[in-house]
Amino acid sequence: METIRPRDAAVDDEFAALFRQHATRLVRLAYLLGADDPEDVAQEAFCRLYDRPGAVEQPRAYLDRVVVNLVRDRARRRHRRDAAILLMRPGLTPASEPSDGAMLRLADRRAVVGALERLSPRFREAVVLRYWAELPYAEVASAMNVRVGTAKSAVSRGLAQMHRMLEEER
Amino acid sequence: MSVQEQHLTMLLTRAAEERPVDPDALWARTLDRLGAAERVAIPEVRPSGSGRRRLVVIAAAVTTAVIAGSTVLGHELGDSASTGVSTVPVPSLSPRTAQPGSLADGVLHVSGVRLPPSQRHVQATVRQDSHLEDVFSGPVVGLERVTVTGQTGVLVLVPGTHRRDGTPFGRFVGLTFVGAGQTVSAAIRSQAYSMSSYALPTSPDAARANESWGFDDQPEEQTFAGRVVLTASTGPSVRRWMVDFTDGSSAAAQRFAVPGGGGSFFILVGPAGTTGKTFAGVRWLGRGGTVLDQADASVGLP
Repeated sequence: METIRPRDAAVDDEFAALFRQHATRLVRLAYLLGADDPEDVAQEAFCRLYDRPGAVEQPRAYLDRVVVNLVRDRARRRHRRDAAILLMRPGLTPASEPSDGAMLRLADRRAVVGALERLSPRFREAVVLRYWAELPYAEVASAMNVRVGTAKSAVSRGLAQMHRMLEEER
Repeated sequence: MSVQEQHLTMLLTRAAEERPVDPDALWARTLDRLGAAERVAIPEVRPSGSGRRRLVVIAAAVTTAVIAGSTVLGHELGDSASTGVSTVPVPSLSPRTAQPGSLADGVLHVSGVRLPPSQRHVQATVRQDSHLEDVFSGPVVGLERVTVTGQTGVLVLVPGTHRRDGTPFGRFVGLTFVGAGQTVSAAIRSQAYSMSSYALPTSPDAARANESWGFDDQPEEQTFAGRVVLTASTGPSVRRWMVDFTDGSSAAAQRFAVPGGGGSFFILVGPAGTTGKTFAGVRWLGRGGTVLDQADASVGLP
């Protein structure tokens, strides 16, 4: 009598190892992306990974992508109107990177995080993935599910917006 | 990366580090979630013969154990007078509506189920008299959806503590059957023994190697005495075990990781071949596979 769904123990060990390796990072990624419940987002990402044993070739990239999507989807549901307003807000023309370095020298962490929180979700993702997770553009693009050029543009524009916000606060 | 970008990275890193993360707690809740969502393959039900009988017995054991629990606690199902502060409604369904053997199709349905967040934490006190009380407090550590006599409900496991004059003296696991509409339709089943310590399998391999163990510390409660073979297929959280007894009958067992770590509960349900009784038991496996507490019940088959 078979009452058990067999599952490869090695797969579970690998899952546990991945959890240990990435759990804290994913919670913080979700946090920086603005998730209401970063732990819940990270948990959901791991559960989705668990449901796909052997089907994910690059678990880290997969987890990052799921976290980004989850935060994005939840934010959309929560603040669909606000998100739309942010995305349509005028003044998002590409700007050159701040060259004088004043922004980051003068900004403390709270100011930077405050500016980050005011970015549109897409730009926020780009900045966090690029500068906090320190992913190469290809992986930023993968996590955001966009082309590399789009990711680069989002990073640049996100930085420019943060620069402008911080300058306005000075 | 420019110096400016490196500075941004540093600031973001420090900001992120200010966010506390408890990976152990996250692991526990993830396991809980995975366990609750896990699906169990249900064996085919043969129109007659041992297969059907086994399934019926398993379902009956779950039901009967719950009913037996109400006796252990010293109150009758539906008797609100013996229940103190509780967020778990007192059972309202007569146990007779869940008579073993009256299953509509003889199938024990087990599938994933999730409780709403408000019901993932139970705080309940059941007083037996002015000195004794059982306190159920903590997160739900296991969930099973079961269908008994055509009614689908959720079997909930909650950790509990026996107290005498307010002093804890034993731990147990409570089982609650939550019926349709999220109302409790059967009582908590619990039993407490003094702390005991003897080796139990700590892994599937160890389980196969250690093929003889029983409730030797409670011989009068021993409801099966034969060889126990634990064939485990593992998930990271819920390890599902099948227990075969030497007489050819079967039982099912399930293991639940405990949020916060430190061990697991597992529950066995099934017939005890040597006594003609049905066994339903709950055990606590502490860190390292040591039994820290146990509870079991023996009830007669119909």
